[in-house]
Order: sequence, then structure tokens, then C-alpha cells
Amino acid sequence: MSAATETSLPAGSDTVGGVRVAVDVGGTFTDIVLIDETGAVGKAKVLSTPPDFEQGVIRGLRAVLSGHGVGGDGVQTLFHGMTVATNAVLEGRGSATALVTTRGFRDTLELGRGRRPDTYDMNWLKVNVLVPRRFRVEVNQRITADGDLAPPVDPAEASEIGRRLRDADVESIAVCLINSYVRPDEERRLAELLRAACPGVWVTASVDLDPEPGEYERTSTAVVNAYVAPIVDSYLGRLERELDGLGVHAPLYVMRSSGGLLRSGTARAEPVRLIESGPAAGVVGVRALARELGLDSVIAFDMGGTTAKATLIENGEAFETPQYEVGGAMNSGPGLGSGGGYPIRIASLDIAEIGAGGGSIFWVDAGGAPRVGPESAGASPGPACYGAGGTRPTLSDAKLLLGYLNPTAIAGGSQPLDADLAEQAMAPVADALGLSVLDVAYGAYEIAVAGMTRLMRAVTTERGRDPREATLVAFGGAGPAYVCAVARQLEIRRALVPPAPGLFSAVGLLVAEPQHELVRAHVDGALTVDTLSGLLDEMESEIVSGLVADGYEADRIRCERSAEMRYEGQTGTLRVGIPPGTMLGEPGLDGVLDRFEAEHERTYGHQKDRGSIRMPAIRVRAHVRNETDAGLLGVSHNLATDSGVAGSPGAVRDAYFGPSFGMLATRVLGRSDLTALPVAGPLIVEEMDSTIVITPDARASIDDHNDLVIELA
Amino acid sequence: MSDIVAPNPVFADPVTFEVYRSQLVGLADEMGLIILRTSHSPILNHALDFSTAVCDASGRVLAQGNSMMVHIGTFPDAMSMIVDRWRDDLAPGDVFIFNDEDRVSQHLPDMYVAQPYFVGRELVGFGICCAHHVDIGGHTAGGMDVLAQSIFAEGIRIPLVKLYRAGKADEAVLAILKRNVRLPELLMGDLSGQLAALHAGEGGIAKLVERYGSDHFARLAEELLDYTERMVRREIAAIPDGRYEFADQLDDDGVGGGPVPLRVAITVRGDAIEVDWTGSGPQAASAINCHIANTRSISYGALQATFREQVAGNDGFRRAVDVVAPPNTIVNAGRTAARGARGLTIYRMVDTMLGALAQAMPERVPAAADGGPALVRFFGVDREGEAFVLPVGPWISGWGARMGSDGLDHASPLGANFANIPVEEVERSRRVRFEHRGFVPDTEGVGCWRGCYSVRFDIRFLSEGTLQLLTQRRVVRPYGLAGGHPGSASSNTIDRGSGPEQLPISAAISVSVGDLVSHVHSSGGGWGNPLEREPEAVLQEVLDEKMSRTRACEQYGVVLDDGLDGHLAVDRIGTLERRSDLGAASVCQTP
Repeated sequence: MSAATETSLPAGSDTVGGVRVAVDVGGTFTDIVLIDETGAVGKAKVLSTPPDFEQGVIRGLRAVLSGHGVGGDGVQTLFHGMTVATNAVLEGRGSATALVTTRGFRDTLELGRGRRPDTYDMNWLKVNVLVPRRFRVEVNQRITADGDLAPPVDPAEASEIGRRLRDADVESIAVCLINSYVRPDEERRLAELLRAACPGVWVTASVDLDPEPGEYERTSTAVVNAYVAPIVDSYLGRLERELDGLGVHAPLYVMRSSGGLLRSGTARAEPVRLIESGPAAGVVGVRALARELGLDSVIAFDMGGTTAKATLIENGEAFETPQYEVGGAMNSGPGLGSGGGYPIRIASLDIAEIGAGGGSIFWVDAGGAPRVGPESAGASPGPACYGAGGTRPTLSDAKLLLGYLNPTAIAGGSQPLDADLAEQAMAPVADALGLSVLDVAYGAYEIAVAGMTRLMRAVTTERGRDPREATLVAFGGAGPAYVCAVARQLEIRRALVPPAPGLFSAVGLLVAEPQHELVRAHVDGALTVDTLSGLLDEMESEIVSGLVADGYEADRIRCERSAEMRYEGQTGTLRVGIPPGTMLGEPGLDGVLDRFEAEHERTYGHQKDRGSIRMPAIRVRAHVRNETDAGLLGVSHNLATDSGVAGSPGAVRDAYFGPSFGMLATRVLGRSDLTALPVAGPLIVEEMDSTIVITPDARASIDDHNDLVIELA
Repeated sequence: MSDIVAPNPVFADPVTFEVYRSQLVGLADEMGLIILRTSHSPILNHALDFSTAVCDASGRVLAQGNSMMVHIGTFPDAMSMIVDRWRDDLAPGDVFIFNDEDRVSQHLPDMYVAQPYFVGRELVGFGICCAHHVDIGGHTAGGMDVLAQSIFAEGIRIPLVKLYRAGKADEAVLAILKRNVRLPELLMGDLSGQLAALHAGEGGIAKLVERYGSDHFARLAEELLDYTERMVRREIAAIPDGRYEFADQLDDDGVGGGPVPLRVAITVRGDAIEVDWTGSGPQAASAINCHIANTRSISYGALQATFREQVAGNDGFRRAVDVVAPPNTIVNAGRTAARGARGLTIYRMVDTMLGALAQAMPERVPAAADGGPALVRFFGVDREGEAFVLPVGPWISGWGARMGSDGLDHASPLGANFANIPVEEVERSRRVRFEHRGFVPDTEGVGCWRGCYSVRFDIRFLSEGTLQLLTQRRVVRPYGLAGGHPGSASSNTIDRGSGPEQLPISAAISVSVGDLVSHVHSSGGGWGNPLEREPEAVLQEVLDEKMSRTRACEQYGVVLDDGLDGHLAVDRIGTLERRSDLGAASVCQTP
């Protein structure tokens, strides 16, 4: 099952004619945005169809193509963000996977690191191990810390293991040897022997994904990859067949966790890189927005039905994390609450996440304090106001009672909301707190805002960044209802809501760039200009020639070099960019060290002995320039002009803005009713997929690109 | 999670309160993250052996980071000592340091650092953190030698002094400190992480005071302490009144004495609780003694873990809990008693506390865990004459079973919350090589719900030096509950080329190149009658080669059948018969 669509059209030949389509598949909705060569756009939002997500994709695609009067053959490129890989892990529906490892270390995967997410929780349970012990096999080999093979892998033993696993109907094999980061060749040799012994079975070598020391995390990374590989492969295969049936023969690109695109063929081989595919697309959109508007510091704030997410973008680059956990309570980077999920050591956009969304439940704890979440009403029964049997108050109920939500126009009017049910659900909490239902609804809103504020701090103050200097960009279905309040808490003076905020992740996909990278572990290596410079040059030419061979035009390729750096003994690294040319000559290396020291000072408030600076990994990342020449602003501008639900002229609704402002008659508008001239709040701006709440202390206007700009005094 | 609604509204402004609470907890965690990210030793950045908290202007702990139980409960005493002694001499930029005071101490490697926070000239709060340093001087590296007979052998003792005065380092203190430890650069590096954490705390507190005003901030602090007290009292009130006693013991004291008894009597009266350690052994001649601050910390922590709801830990916690520990005992040692290896004792204290609490709350408390980590350090002097200290452990197996679930395999014990140090990280030293780290089949604490399996650790030495291997649970095994069996015992052996020889329970031994040391860690106790265990669960563990068919049959009464297609399956009838023979009374109840 080769990537047929990839070979039928060489990359780079897709520059003229036809439409470019982005498909973002989430747990609930599948969003589709299209742009043609004239810059005209089309869009669709359809229900997702798990587990056969491709059905929803095709349904939406059909709608958007026919709406635009284009046939399948008119599609020149397809961009895709998806949650198939994540869902397979979260739901434990991966493939039958085996692990082959060094003798004496069969249990590394199951032992884990031992940390528990919460010090005092005796009810916590570990996540299920993805490869049961019966499928974890030891090989009689050892790589020493110096790289000696004592003994090397015996080919006969490897082949025997491969045959045994194949006979046990294993679909996918992960290989991780102790100290393979020192001798990747030995692990790759074992992987090859296994491939030869069991054709048709996926084989993942850990060092191909993660070349760094730390056996548990590297093993886990390889295992997650192996576990989801057949699932993702089968999904993309089904999708490509369906696309074929629709007459779409365009190359398919998939969003990876680090914010770049992968050709679907590569994505199928290394699906662990897709775990944060969906959330990454939105961040990529905000990054493009920041670049095009020339904003130095931007916080991307994405909130939907179940989670709120934040990422910091500085000078046009989003922060990344070298490791995060999937499963457990939440996908997240390493921290004090780690240990609850499956760690993956793959560079990913640093997306902080909390369980706060429209469905989060509002309750009173035993000490009499009000709390929001982490429990959620989810899609079923959903918030009380949905009338589907939910009896506990949620954030959506609070927003309805506050007058922020239109009882008849949510999700384009398909979901009527019942304020009486919301009030009934809220009443017991109000009684317990001795507040009116209205005040308690506002309290729920404020507490949710406090949680989001903590989230923003995690990506700013915790990295030595001042959030007050940032522009807050809110998107997702629920984010725009909180944007003013969150900005106020962080003393942010400027916020922005792009057009069609509920479709924004799909828009981000349209402007994303194909991206490839090479990482070399450089453990304990001497820091000399020559070795480093030579290595980087070598890596760059390897990656560029690979891309050119794939059909990309050389003049569209741009390379970035960076190093992961830290002081001796530290586990966390800071990424330091190495601009072209800096490595030539002695001052070059000093310049890199200077930059590391400045970054350490900025992030942690101090520097240490220069002699103890280490560079555990170096990286070359190649970007291929995106061909959506209109840019993000062009796409989203046009989405807005063609956008949905304008308020009926002169519509007014009572909305409550807390004790200091009280209940105010609030104008309800559509985006197109606003102009460049700022209008003072309170205002409610209704769109098909989102509601923007402008508080009385804020002013709203529209910029040249149809972004809704919020200024706070 | 069910809505437990307080009978009457208790807050004037509940929403502001909750926002404030969440910000303070976030700040304490933020301080911990800075230590995690900037520290240099694997004890901190791999094992996470540190803790953080923020306090109000009178030194009361308001919020604590998600970190080490054994540290956290000592912060209230540490802060009240600092405030009592220095309240009239505090300036912006002051930083305090100590590791040994009569009122508060852990063992000497645990260094407390605290800082008063000012807004303008007004004292508005404090930050405090405690971190375990790799070496602190003394007669053996690492400061944890069980053989130490007095604290003077264990390392440098730092009384409560100012490390910084108004932002200026006291070079004399630093010089004395550096001169007294084996790895001064490492100590300074990790100390700078602690300072960076305190600095971040200062910024965060200043912002909150700015937002609320210092009066309102102080009122909210008061509400926060009351809130925790209220939650603690509600939890205690839900425990049936009574006196619950339990005794456990340490196998030995490491110097030929022993066993060492630990005894607790927990008395619940309404919404108050007393934890009385009277009857525990006398102060030991070795380094397994606990400071009273440790004893309090463990008493609060083990109690908190049994609560139904998550309780925000702070100074208010202590108001409903009384801890009694007679002086000059293992749980309240005198000022010169050695304490370096108190890590062996605190986990047995947790076991003892939980054994008593299990009588009051059988449905909520697990059987004994593995008994605490094996503490493993390898140290010596290399060919160049440089000292080295290599943290190799902590080594653990995991938890005991509880009603409704098996014991957690390889999870940090309740008394701490650390991660292990990766094999590849330890091996980068080129001083040792791991040859095995994995489960030992047929070692789980048998029960309807099983305890964790034992884990075996084999290390081959690539250089000579001294191995300090502190273990327990070889004689008295981790207890089971409700008919569950005890976990299995630990063992330590060395093979110097002529076959394995037994090693003492706790020892510091010279090792040569090529020696192989093997430690089998104790396992967790089981819960409930093993004849009521779900047969399918037994089958799965046999398939996973964690359990032999013999054990399945003998201990659980589960008979397996090879089946026609070679797939192992439960022989239902055979199992019924076997269990009947073994005296099964009822079927396993799933709650």
C-alpha cells in the first residue's frame, strides 16, 4: 500500500491552477476550508465520524467542492490535521505491538520512571502498558556507555525473534536497546534483521525518532509510534482511496506536532510525530498571523468544548517542548504533574493545556469553595441548557445565564438552549454559596478565567516572559467569549479574534509549510567550531538533497540551525538558534554561547560557569515555502467577508458583567457591523461558530484583514 | 466526584477566594518547576527530591507545590522559627539558609532556603524551599551513612543564618559551606536553582499583593487557612470515632541492633485527631533517627492521603491534628543523634500510620507498600584524586493492593514522589553497568487484589569505590490486609567472582572492578482473600510470565488448561474444585 497520491503528482508541480484545501478533523467537528487561485474561499463544518473519520472528511469535502463548483481533479493540494493517532492511544485501540530490547531490560517500559502525578492521591492508577510483557522480548546483546558491543546482536537470534513475533500475529515491533543513542547503527541493524525476518510487520527503531539518552522515554516514544503506525497507515490509506474515488489526486500533507507539514508517506512511517497534529494547526495559524502583522509577542489561546490551550509565539516562532505526555489526564509537557501518561520525546509545539471548556462542571467542595472542573459534562449529557439530561451546571450554562450566548443561534441555530434548565442546575450551587444565580454564574466564569490565566502564565512568566507585552489571539468555539476577561487578568492591552474563529485551525493548515528536520545527539562532545560547523553543513546538505529528490524546488527551501543547550547535569534544555555564518570563525562559537547565556538569564534569572555549557543535540530544520500566496490574512479576510450570522440590526440583549458593571443592555452585532472605528463595550459579536464577548472596559474594531481587534484601557 | 455542599455559605466573596487560592497554588508549583529545570544533580532533576511553598507575612504556609510529602509538613515549623528569631531584622533581598536546627531538620543533605518578600518596605510574605543536595561533607559522601553514630560525622551543620543580606551574599557563609563539601560546584549550582525559585515566588506574591492590596491579601490568607482547616475537620469527622493502634518495625538499625519497633495510636474524636507515636523504639545508635519535624510531616501526609477530597495543604492543616512523639526516641531524636539514613524510617512510619488508618477506613487504605526505596550511592576517589559521588538509586518496587485494585507496580512510595534515575544516565559515569532491572516473577503480595511485584537490580562495577546500599524489609515483610498475604522479602548479594554472597541489610562495602551486586526489592502486600481473585486476572499474569502456573494453582486456586489450540485458558470447573478444596467461602466482590 504505497502512497499512491504522492507518486502520481510530483511535489512542486502543484503551483498553478486548482484549489488548495485544508481539512481539520477534531473529535466533534470536521472543518474544511478551501481557497482557489483567485483567493476566493469556501468552507464547511460537518460532524466527525469516528472511528471512520474519512467518511466525515469526504462528506465535508464533497460539500465544499460542489459549493465552489470544482471537481475532485480541481484540488491541487490537500492539507490535513487529525486526531487519529492520539485517539488510538487514548482509547487503547492501537495495533498488536511487540518490543524488542536488551537482555535484562524487558520491563523498562512497564516500570516507567515511578513518579506519580499527585503526591497525595492513593487512588491513582497507572495507564495501561501499551505492550504487555508477553510481547516484550530480550535480545542477548549490550551496548556499553562507550559504544562497545559486548556482545553485538547475533543475526540468527534476531531472525528467530522476528519469526516468533510474526507467528504470534504481531502487527508492529518497536526496538529500543540500552545505550543505542551511542550506537544507533547497532539498533538499526537489529531493526533491519527483524524487517527481513517478518515482512509486512512495521518495525520502529527508537533512535530514528529520538537519539537522546534516557531509556524509558526513548522506549516509550518508539512504542507509541509502533502502536499507532498500522492504525494511521490504515486511516490514511482509506482516506486516499476515498479521495481517489472523489477524483482527488492531489498530494496529501499532514500536520505534525511541531507545526510543519509531512508528506503522507512520511507521516505513515513516523506517526508519533502527529500526536499533536490537531492543536498544532491552530498555533501555526496564529504564528502566520503574528508574522504577517509583525507582532513580536503573541499568545495563542484556543478553547473548545473540553480543553483550553495556550502557546507563546515570540518573534514569529512558537515555543517548542522536546517532550510531552499523551494520555493520563491531559497531553502536556514535562512538569511536576508528569507521570500520568505516555511520554513522547518528539519536538512539539509547547502547547499548555487544561481541562476547561464549555462542558466543565461547576461545583462546591467540602470546604465551601466554588470550583470549575476538572469533571466535564462532555458531549453527553452535555450542559444542562442543551436539554439532553444534564443536571449539573457547566460553563456553557453560566454563559447562557449571563446573556452571552444567544439561546437560538448557537452552532448556526442547530442547538437551542434552555435558560430555565441552566438556572435549575445552577440554583443548588447558588444556595450553597449564598449568592444569586446570576452572581454565581458570573463566579463560574471568573474562576474559569483564573484557570486560563494560570495556563497563560505557564507559557510566559514560567519562561521569564512578560505577558503584558503580548497580543492575545483567541480562537476555537469558546475562546472568544473569554478573551477580554483573560486579557484583563494578565494586563494585556490588545487582543485579537480572527475571522471564523471556529475554523481557524483549518485556516492555519492552509498556510503551513512542509518541514523536515535532522537531529544529531552530541552528547558530551567537545564544543569546537570545526566539528560543529562541519556537522551542521553535512546535515543541511543531507536534508536539502533529500527534499530536492522528493521534487521540491531548491529555491523554496530554507534551513534553520539550532542547538539544544544546557549546563552540565541539567535535564532541561534551551534551544538556541545558530544563524547562517555564525559558525565560521572563532567569534561564532562565542556568539552561540552568549545567546545561550542570555536565554538562561532571561528564563531563569541567572547564569553559570561558561565552561559547563553543554550541547546535547543539534538540529537542522528545513522549511519549504508555502504556496498560499495570499497568506493567512488573505485567506481569513475572505472567510470573513463571506461569513455567516450577522446580528439583526438594533438587536439588544441584557448581559451581566459582574458586580462592578452589573446588568447592561448590550448590543448584539455581526462582525460586518463593526468598522475601523473602535466601539466601546459592552458588545456581543455573534458568528456562526463562536460568540465574542466585549466587556464594558474594552473597545472593539475591525482591522484591514477583518480581524476583530480588542483594546483594553 | 460528588457535590458535597457545605451547610452554610462560608465566604463573603467565594469567587475571589477561589481565584486567589488557585493563583497561590500555581505559584508554589511554578517555583518547583524552576528547581526541576535549572538544577544539576539527578537527585533533583531526575528524582525530584525537593519541595516549595509560599507563606504569608507571619510565615504561615499558604500553598505548597506538588512535591515531597516528608519535606512539606516541616515548612510550618521552619517558617515559625524564622519569624520568631528574625522578625525584627528582615530586609528586602535577605535569604536564609539552614539544614540543622533543633526545631526543624531533615537529614543534613536537605537544605532549606527561605526569603522574605517585600512590596516597598512592607513585609508581605515568604517563600521557602527544601532540596536534597548530592553531598554535604561528613565521613562518607552523600551524608546518608547508616553507620554514623553522631550527627558530627554526617556533614556540615548549618544553623539558621542569612546567606544574603539585602541582596548581598555573605561570602563567609559561602566559603565555609564550599570548604566542607566534596562537590562545591554542584552544591552551588543546585543552590542557585533554589534561589531562582524563591526569586520567582517573590515576583508572584508582589503581583498578588498589588492586585488585592495587602490588607485584602492578608484577609484572603486567613480565609485560606480556615478553609483548609474546615476541609480537614470534615474529613476527620467522617472517620469513625475510636482509637486505632498499629505496630510495624524496621529489621535492624544497621549496626547490629534491632529490630526497631514503630508504634502508633491514632485517636479520632469528632473532628479532631491525635497521632501518638509513644511505644516506638528508643533513639538508635545509628543514623536511622527521625527529627520530630519528620514525624509530624509523615503524620499529616499519610492522613491527608486517606481523605476523600483533595485538600489544599497549608498551615491550617495542623489545627485539627495533634502529633505526640516522646523525646529521645527513634521518632523524636535528640539534637546530636545521627539522622542521615532516616529515609529508612520514614517509610515505615507511613506503613504504620496506614496500618492504623486501615482499621478505620478499610475500603480506602492500601496494604503495605514495598517498605520504602533502597538508597544506593557509589562513591570514592578516582585516579586523579578527585572525589566522585554517584547516585544510583532510589530503587523501588511499588505499592500494596487496596480494595478494588492491584498495587501499583514501580510507583514512588507515598512518603515521597520521585522518579528513578535512568540506567543510561547512571552509566554515563562509566563507573557501573546495569545488567538487569525488572520484575521478579512469583513475588507479588498474594490477595484478591495483589500487591506489586518485586523488582531486581543487578549492577556490575567498572571502577572501585564504596557502595552504600541501605535496604529494609528482609525480616519483617510488608503486611497484607483483609486476608491478603504479605509481600515478599528483600535480599542483597554480591558476586566477587566466586558466586553470590549475602550482604547485610544495610551496608557500605568496598567493591572492585568486576564485582556484581544484586538487590531484590521487597514487594507490596495483598488485599483480600486470594481465592476470590478474578481467575482471568491470574491467567493474564501467567501469560505475561509474571506468575508460574504452580503459584496460580497453589496460591489462588486457579487451574489453567492448555486448550486444544495451545492457548492457555482458565479451567472453570477445575478452579471451582481447587478453590473449594482450599476453602474458598465466597466469590470476589467488586466494589
